[in-house]
Amino acid sequence: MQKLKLSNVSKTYPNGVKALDDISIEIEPGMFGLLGPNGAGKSTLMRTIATLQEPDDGELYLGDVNILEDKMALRKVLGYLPQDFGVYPKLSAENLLHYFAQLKGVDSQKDRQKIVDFALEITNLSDVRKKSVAGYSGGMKQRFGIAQLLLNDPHLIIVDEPTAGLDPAERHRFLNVLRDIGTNHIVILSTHIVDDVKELCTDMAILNGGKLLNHHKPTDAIEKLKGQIWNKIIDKDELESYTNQYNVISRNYNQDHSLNIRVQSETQPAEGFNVIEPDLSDVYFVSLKQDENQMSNA
Amino acid sequence: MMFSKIFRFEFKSWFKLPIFYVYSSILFLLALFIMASAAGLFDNVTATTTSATYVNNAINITAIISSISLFLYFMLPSIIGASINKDFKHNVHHILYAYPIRKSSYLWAKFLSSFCVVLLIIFLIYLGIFIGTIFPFTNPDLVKDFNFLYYLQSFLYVVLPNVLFFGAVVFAIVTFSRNIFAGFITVLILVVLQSFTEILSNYEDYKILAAYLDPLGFAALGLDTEYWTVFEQNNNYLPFNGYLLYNRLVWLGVSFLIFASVYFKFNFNQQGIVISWFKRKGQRLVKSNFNYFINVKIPEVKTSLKASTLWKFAFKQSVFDYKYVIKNKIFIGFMLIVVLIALSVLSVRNQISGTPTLPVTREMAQLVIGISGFFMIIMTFLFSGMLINRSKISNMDQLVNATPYPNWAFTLSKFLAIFWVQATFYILLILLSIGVQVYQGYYKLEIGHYLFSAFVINYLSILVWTALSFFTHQIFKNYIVGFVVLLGFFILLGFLPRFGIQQAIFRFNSGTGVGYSDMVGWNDSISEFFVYRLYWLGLAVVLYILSLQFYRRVMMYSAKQRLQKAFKQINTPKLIGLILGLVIFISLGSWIYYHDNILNERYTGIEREKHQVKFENTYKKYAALPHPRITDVSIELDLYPKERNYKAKGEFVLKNKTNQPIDSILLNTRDDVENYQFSKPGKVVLNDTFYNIDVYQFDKQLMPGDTMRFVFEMKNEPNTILDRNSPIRSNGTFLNNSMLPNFGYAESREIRNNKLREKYDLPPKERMKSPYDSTALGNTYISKDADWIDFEAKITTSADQIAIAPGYLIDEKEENNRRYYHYKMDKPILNFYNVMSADYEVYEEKHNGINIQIFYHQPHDFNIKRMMKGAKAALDYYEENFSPYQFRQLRIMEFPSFSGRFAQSFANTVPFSETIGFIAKVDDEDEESVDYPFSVTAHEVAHQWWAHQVIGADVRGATLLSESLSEYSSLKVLEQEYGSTQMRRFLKDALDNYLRGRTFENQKELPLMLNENQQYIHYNKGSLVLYAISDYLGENKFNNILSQYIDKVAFQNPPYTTSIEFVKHLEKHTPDSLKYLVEDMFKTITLYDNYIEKAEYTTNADSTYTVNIEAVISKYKSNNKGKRLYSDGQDSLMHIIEKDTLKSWPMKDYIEIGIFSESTEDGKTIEEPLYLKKVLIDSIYNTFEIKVDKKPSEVGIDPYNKLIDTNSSDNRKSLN
Repeated sequence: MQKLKLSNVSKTYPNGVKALDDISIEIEPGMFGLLGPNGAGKSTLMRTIATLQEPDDGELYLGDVNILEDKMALRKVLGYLPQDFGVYPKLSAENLLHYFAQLKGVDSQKDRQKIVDFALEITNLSDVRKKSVAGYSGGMKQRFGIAQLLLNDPHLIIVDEPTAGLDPAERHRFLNVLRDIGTNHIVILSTHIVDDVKELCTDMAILNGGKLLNHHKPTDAIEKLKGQIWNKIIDKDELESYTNQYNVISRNYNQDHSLNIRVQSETQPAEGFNVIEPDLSDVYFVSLKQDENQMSNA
Repeated sequence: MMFSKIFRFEFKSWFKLPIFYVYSSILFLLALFIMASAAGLFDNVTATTTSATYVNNAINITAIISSISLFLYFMLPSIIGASINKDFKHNVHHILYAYPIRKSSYLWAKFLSSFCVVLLIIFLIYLGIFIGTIFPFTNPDLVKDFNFLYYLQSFLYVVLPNVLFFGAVVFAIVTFSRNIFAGFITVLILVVLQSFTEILSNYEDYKILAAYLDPLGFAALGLDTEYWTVFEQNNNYLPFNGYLLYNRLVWLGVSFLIFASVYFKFNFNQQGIVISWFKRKGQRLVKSNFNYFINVKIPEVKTSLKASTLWKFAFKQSVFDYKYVIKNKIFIGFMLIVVLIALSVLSVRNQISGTPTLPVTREMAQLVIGISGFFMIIMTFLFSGMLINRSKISNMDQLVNATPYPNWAFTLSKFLAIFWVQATFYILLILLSIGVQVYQGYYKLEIGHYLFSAFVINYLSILVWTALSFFTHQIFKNYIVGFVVLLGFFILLGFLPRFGIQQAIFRFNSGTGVGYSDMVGWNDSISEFFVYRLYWLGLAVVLYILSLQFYRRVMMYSAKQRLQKAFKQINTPKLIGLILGLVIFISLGSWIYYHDNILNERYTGIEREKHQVKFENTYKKYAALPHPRITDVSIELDLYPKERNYKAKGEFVLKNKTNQPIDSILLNTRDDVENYQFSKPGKVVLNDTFYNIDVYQFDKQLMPGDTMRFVFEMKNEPNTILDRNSPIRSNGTFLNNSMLPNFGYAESREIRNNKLREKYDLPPKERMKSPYDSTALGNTYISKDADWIDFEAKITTSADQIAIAPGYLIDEKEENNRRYYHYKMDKPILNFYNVMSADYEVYEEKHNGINIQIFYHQPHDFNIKRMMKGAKAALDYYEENFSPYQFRQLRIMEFPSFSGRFAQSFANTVPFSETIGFIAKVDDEDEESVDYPFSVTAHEVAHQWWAHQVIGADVRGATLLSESLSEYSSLKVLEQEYGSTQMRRFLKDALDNYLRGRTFENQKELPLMLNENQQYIHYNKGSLVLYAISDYLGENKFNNILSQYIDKVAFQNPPYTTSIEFVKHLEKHTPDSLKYLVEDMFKTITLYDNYIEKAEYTTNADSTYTVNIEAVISKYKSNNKGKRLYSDGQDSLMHIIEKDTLKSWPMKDYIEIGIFSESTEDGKTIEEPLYLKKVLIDSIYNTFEIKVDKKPSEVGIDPYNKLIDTNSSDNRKSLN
């Protein structure tokens, strides 16, 4: 099976923002989750892998294919769904999919019909195949995006924040499709929704400020935090002092306006903290917190 | 309060934007350069600018500011539109519209702030114009003193209302659509509509309509000032009481309505206003939420990105893209406008005296290409931009760009799509044109000619524009920017020659044009045309490949990066294409450059002026040299139409007609002259190959009365791809004697313009000599080196052609597959002859012993009977009224459009262009349309008398004796055949053409008797004046006067007669009471301003009617610049009406008063004069009381417009 390999990929925008900072990573077949806050550089990284943008430095390989040198070879096996996209107005889903099938090189009319029908069905769009895509609701449009992505039986699938704006039923359906494809191919899913990764991904990384912070299997990452996450219910006036004293990684309100804080610590931070089972959110926040601390120390 | 806050904030914000500075500086510089170049800034690289009018008079300033404002209108969407749009664009309106702002404050502050910015830019344009008038290195003679009012008037009357109108439209469109682009397209459509009114205003019948319809007021101003003389153009202020005033009121009203609708319709809403044609029914939509998939098995499909597959896809997708364009509203809007323009232009076409031509395919195809021209280019610029950016516009680019579909296939499909659009456009126009042809009953459709004109001749040029457009749109991310850049480049190209860049190879997509004639087919320069096309195609290939290299597939953030990418990564096929294109472009370019600049010298206008100066300075001394005159001409001419070559031999007999011995002779030779010989021994003492002048000195003088022979041989240089060295055509050759060598200093090669002569220190010179110049009286105005000659010509041509020259055919045979013709004239003729050769059909009739033949090109037999009728009627009238016809035959022969649009009269031989007469579409039912095949034939036949019998000396007024009298003669023949109604149409056109012609006079207008060969005087004024004098004196009496004059001067030898002699002769036979007419019409420039002030009638008891008329009659004279004069010392007549004082030259004039009744017979309106009499008038204000027997319907003062009157439409008034 082919692996996607990035070495020392960097990109700085003309306005001085370093969107990618020396990123090296190997991604194996399976579902790969790319977690990161807004503005972390996820989309830049996705576009770079999808050949729509070139890094200033670094190399990218899919198997033997040097992506920067031979973009076409990558595009042949690529399925890409950008974060935000539009479609030609006044065209039906079916017509547009036929158009994309041509762009992806599906030569015979019969083959195109077959794969378009399949994509429509799998994305639950068969009923509205004749309707103009530009008039679709957000969720329907997103499904259309997935439909177009499937047309060339892609080996590398890149989906940038695909579940944003989907209702729970659609989200499940979508993730299931991805899961199924992901068993044989590389699927890179960027998201800031931790649950997406938790449910699906066999591998994940956290990106912040253009830097790769953590690359683990989700289960391993959670395992590593075992016994380090402590929980306490406090009054909201106390938050500031707790934040100063302890490594508070997240907080959320309870119904009675008291606060639930989670603290990372190898030992019990103080009286009243209870050790709890870590979850993927903890992994996410711990990584971000560490990165933040390093930045302020540096 | 709120208003001023928003206003100030908005106004200030413009000064932080670069767009304001970019627009201001572009328009400022444009204004400066246009004005400065009109004032002669580029004289040293082009040619000396001369003009009779000042560049900064009121009209010229208005014209310049108006044309520059056109650019400004295109900028309005991004100024006035942007001011309202920026709130939507940055989504500020979500917040802002919730604030407690009053609608009026918000809207007016937005509009007025941006409007003030526009006014500021306009001020800068005016500043540019002003600086242009005083710019260093311009010619101060072209500029008059600064007059602030000229600037202010053009601003208040023209620019301000226009900007208000366009501003209102743009503001409204952008406010409602929330889209600047929509505003931009609206401006484009308005400008196109405006150009439609400009076309409309060229047609007499639609002028007034156009004056109201034109939103910019140009047509109205044009109509108000259409007859302004040079003096009036230079001195008058803009008129603001005629059509312009009403036009401005109409369009200000429209602007006001637009503002009002914006105010009432505008709401502080989140959504823009949506106009939908149909209300859709609502529908509840529920999707299925419970069908899950578990196993996804993507079906296996074969993918292939082979070239053959991609070509197939490119074709498919071109159709997909094509549909996008043709369903686009802008495209449909464009098409509607084009259809409107095409239908009107194609169905009306060019008219002569109210008669159109038949819709022959040659002319229709030319019109189709003409109409498509600018639209095709605009559409290409616009839609190639929209197609190239189609995925970007829809935000689908990331999906599309991540597919493995290659850039070249994307580009190919868009290129093909644009081709389908262009083809649709051509086909649509061709179908419209064919529709018009069929509708008008013309069935010779020549589809092949249409297709070749469109898809080969025109498309080869459009293709190059398309490639440039593709390249430009790849460079610029925003397709509106790309479009504006392309449009700007296109317009700039038109200015290049004025800035000194004149060679076609340096002006993008320029080259030689190509013409078509039914007789010849495409003209001989088509080979050169294709060379230029290939040259630019080479560049087009380069541009196309570069557009692939700059394809925006991967996001780039700097121009440098894009450049590096574009030149680093290039694959072999593209590299080969690029090199091939460059090789074609550079090698053909170098070849053309070598040919035009090194092999042959190329001269700029200024260099040619200097050559003329040097010619005059060098050779003027020979002007006084006495020369022998040609008495016999005998030529032998071999024509090879297929090869387009000729060989000629000639023999002239020269006689010393002076009374002094001649020792040398100046010969104007030609490049084609191989050798020559005089029968008198001597030697060449001067041989100038630059000016082609030889001076030959005889060993022994040629004594008075002696003769000698001059023989010469000529042959053309071989024709090449870039050079046509021979005037011979494959069919329809038309040569005349000017191609042969001749003798004596050629004054015609001197600079004529006096301002130019002054610049080069040459003495001032009149365009023609004074009638009292005794040397000039020795020559006819046709020939400087002969009087009457004996003529003989032997011509051979290819077997399928007939060759014709003046004279009678005395021998004709066919030998070696060539035809031989021998013509000999049995009477002396002027030294003015032609040779024709073509594959002719002949139609002939014998009329009173005269053999009349018409030689025509086969399908053009539409009007030969009318021409025959015209020839017969003309011969009859002239023989009866003037003198006998001097020949036994008369021949009319058709020649190709390339030689021009005229007919000409040689001795018994009348060449007639294929563009007139032969293809006229005469409507005998329509009294407003003149049978001009008939009348032009009659005019040319009249020249057999007025030129070939009576010929004037080479002095001012000579053409009164030829052109004016021929025009009069033909008018009389026309009147005899068709009655006086066609006369009115003809004279109305003549009046309009005369008045219009004098506005373009670039030196001076002289009276008819002294005209300097100006067409507007000798044709148009001549026909009016001679028709009127014949009317006043009586036709028979006037014809008698003419006949006596012919008796006196026909076939005379030098000194030749002059118009002075003619006018004296006329005066002698004119009664004293009418002598003022001769003075007014021939010796001075006189115009009337006559109109009916009031008219009414009462019914009497005896059922007669009494008509009371108040008529205002005044006349004035004009100096040679067009200044009005009301007396020459004595008191002028005066009359005061309300506040206006009317003035008139003192009168004792006979003016016609008419009363008419109208009746209808067979659906036709028949006008019957109840009273028509010439009445003596000596004051301005006149009342008449006239009794008539029948019920009057209309009265008129000079009702038939026999007198020259700048407003001929107010001479009649109907009675109700």
